[in-house]
Amino acid sequence: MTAPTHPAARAFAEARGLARPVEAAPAGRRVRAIALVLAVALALVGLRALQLAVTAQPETSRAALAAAPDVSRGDIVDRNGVLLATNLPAFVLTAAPRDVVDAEATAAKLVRVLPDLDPVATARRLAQKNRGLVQLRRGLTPRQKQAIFDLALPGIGFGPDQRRFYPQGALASHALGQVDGDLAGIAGLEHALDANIRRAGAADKAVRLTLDVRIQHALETELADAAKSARAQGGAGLVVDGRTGEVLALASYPERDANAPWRIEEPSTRNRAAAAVFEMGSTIKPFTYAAALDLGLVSPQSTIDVSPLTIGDVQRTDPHPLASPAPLTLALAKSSNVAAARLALRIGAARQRAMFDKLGLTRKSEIELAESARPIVPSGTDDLTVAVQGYGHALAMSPAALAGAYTVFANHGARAPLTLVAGTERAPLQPVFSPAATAAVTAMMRAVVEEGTGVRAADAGVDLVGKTGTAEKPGGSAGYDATRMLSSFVGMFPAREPRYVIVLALDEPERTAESGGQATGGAVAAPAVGRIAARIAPMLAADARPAGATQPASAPRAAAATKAVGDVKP
Amino acid sequence: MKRLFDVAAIILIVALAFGLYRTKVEADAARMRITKLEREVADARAQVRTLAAEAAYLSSPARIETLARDRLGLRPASPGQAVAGAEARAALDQRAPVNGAVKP
Repeated sequence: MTAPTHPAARAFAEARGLARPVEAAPAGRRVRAIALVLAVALALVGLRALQLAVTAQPETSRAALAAAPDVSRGDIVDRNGVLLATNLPAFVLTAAPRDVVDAEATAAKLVRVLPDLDPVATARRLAQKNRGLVQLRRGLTPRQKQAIFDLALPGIGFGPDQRRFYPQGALASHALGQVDGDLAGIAGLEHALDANIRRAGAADKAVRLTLDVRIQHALETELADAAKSARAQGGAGLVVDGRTGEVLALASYPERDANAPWRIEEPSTRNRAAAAVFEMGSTIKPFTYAAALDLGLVSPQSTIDVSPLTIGDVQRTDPHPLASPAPLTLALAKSSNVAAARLALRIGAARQRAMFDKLGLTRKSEIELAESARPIVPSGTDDLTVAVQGYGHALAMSPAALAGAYTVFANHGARAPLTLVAGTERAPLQPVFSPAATAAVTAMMRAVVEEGTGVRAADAGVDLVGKTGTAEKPGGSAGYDATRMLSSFVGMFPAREPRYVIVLALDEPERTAESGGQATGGAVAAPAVGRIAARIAPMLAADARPAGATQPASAPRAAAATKAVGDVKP
Repeated sequence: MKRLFDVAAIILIVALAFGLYRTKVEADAARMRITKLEREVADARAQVRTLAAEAAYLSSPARIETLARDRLGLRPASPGQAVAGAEARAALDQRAPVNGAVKP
């Protein structure tokens, strides 16, 4: 409505009180504008409400994701499915430095619950006020969490985590190895099979090993007993199925608790069975004999000159000289060094090296451990080097490599590469000697146990074949130290048809009353190998009774002895 | 007539919007239940792992051997104790007169 312009009309309008002030018209437009703005705002709110109701994601799913971390590592089980390593729920210790009242006092209190936490470094991290959240320690057990929770420290909190747990404690801890705080493998099979274990974890499966906890336990207890009674610095042992190369047990002494934190500098963390090399001594002689027989240099009925041997200006004699010439079998049974040296010289440097190559003694063992040690192979081809290698000096190898080489006696002269992982594709057998040569040497190794240096292996009532080894360790002015020895025994059973190989080596045993004042392989290692065989033969369904005790019905027993170990249930 | 149609359309829209809202709320509730169940499954699995680890620890050879020796007086089997196949049957047959003495 427009205001009347005619003066009379205006007066009339004013008189009737109908006239409006001039400002009235813009005020009406303002009301409309405000209404419009409100309508638009309301529409926006409505649309947003609709959008939220239809499309928004619930907050809970993200929280749930944070609460359940992935199980990144699969379990490790033995050949029969017994649990060796698993992941358990755990907690991560966190701190919000902004909320921490006294960094040093808080750190001191935490160290009381977690003794291996560094108080200085922890206090420094707690004082980082610019950080929102710091992670102090992973893998807390529920008990540790509760203990810290009870301290009621401001700014200290917990998050979900996982930790690696080894339910068997120290059992097979050297083979299994260790993981770091982020559950990444850093040693042993945890390291070597890291990718397999993670894959298995993603598929909710387990990695199966060739180890058998029962055999592992028998090996570990007998190794520890032997090492303790001989006051040895260390020891190593293996039990191998010679047919397949499957490692049934692998042990290193001193033992190590798998659940304790890994301290690499500690001697107990060292895997002496695979990650250390030794000059094994006389346990190498059977290979020298087999090579000489194989090459037709001697026959099983031959005799050999065992008189003192002079190479260059060094004269070699046996500690307990035999009447010369001696039958080959007696020379091996009594472990004559000069006999092995003479055979080695007749074999020659090139053929000897080829034999060691084929036995896998010049490379690191195929066993699936990253720390599998490289052997020390002498470069010389002179007579002295060749002669001493004939009886196990100069060439240093891991006990695992030696066990792998002995599989030739279980496979008619072919070597089975060692493995720790069940169900993997087996490397083909590698022919080294003729079946006749290994059969002849097996018969000679029977004489070692019956009338030679290894008679005490039969103490436990088991029929086995084997070879002793007593090697002086390198050191001293004369090159070798007569007081520090590596004493070992390699035994195989059943004696009629060897299948299982047991290696046991003691590092620097002492002459103690228990071993009859001796520290030789025959005195300290052979009886332990006999006891191991006695304990594990029933588990393997292998007949290891002495020949005299056997009944005429031998055919079914042979069938039982060849039964696959995989069939044996715990 | 046109007004009646408009009113019906508005009622329909409101009903659909409400229906959609309810469905959405129910879906949310279901999702939360799924999350809860999934967490329960994860917890149960963690518990199974813990129990399996505990069972493995309790049945570890070192522990069993100690118990068997100390409480039951057992010792490791020796090779002489194991017989197989026909020999085992023969051994049982030899014992037959003792066991079968009650037979006529």
